[in-house]
Amino acid sequence: MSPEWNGLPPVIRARIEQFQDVPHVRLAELAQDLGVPVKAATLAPGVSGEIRPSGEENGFIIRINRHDPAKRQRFTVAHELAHFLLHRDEIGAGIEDDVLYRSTLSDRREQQANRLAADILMPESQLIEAREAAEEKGVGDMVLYLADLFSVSEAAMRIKVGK
Amino acid sequence: MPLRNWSDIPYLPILSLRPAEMRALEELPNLTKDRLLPIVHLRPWVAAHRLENAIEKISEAYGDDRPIVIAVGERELPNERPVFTQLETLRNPDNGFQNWCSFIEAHENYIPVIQLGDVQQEAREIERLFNLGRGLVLIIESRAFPVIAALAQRVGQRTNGGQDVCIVIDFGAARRNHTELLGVATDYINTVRQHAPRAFIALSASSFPDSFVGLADQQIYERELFDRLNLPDLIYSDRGSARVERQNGGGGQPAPRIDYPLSISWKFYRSEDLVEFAGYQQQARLLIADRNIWNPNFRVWGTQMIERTAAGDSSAIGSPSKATAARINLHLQRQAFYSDPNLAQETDEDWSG
Repeated sequence: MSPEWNGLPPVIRARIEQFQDVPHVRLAELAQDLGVPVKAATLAPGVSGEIRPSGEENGFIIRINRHDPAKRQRFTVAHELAHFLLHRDEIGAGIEDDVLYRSTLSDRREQQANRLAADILMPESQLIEAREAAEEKGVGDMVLYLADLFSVSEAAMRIKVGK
Repeated sequence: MPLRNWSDIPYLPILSLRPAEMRALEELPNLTKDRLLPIVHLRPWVAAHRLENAIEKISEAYGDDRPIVIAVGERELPNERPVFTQLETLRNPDNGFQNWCSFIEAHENYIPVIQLGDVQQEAREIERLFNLGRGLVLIIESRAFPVIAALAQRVGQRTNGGQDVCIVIDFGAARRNHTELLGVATDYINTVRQHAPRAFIALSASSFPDSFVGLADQQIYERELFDRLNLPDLIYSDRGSARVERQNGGGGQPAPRIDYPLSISWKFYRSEDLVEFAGYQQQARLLIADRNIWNPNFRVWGTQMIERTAAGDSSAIGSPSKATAARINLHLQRQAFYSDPNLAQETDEDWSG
């Protein structure tokens, strides 16, 4: 797991793990549990997602581009939740992430959010279990199989499993 | 209980099972999909071999279980693909259109359109479909207007006077003089009401033009006629801003054009000097610069496609098909919220993952 995951308070990690009981991590329910509403929206061109103050005290809201492919939408939500968990004090008036997950935050911050997003969507315990089961079944393209199972892109899964 | 209450439906677009229409529908907000009710005529899905591909496409575009009105499309030039045989089977009138009724029964979210034909077979069909309790639709096209009373009577008699039935009076291709049909349309509506007093009535047509030389805008004449009628229990219908008759190639690629639907008119931005993507980009920029027309707060897919085109994203609108999809998407959103245009701009919805 990433340094960002390991750096989260244990109580937060435990809350996230409640929603990682299936390979298709229950992301919408996780966001709700963290108190961050997620809206599907038609954003400006080239914007995949954003997180902004919601107007409620200490509240934030995430909006994602509903016209992106479903797997990409899930990664964007996880990425914005990672900003909420790691960079809440730096969100200011809002962070807008483009298709390459670049924003006004530094590249280092964006990479942190990407790593935590990957850990949220592809929890290690589930991944080990799924991989063992797939090997038993003799699955041909392991990365493709796991990417579908976890509803992430092949690229994201390839990075995660180190292939 | 029918699958949808006709009194809740502001808009019944008749959509073709073609890529532009299905993409436009697919990208609508769920709130809009729940508000309008499309009528889709079954036909082969692009080059696919089986009817199942068409059914899958409808589910992909509109949802697995959202109620939708389904009709059998008109015969097209057949070839060896099995889908043509499958469609022919559904048209078979034997045993009270048994194949059609069984097909509808197997798809629980389908609201059926009655197939007309031999009166006895049709009577058995109507009885069986009516007893499903999902709601029932009769489409009366202009060629059947001379017998509109008889058709309304046949359906009215077998459905308790048109209970949960919607009868679509479809004028087909409309022209500038469409609004002159006020008296004719009123007569048809009264005739239908006389024979099927409990039925809802929808009025449909399409005046989307087929020539754009020197045409900067055009009224939506079918909307104008509908508004002038201003009758209760009448539902607005059109082709989603598509033409009734398809243009079958010839004459090369049309000049790049971006269309912008408003509530009662369409605006056309047509390139006179540039071709391919450069032409679309030029026109998208002109449209966005037109501050009296362009509404950046109308957040639907069609808006984003035009914005992406203007910004130079060549994967956005670079062909007539994509321009059509964007136009239909915008038009569907406008007409679904015609009576409440401010609501049309509230398109954010809960993300469900």
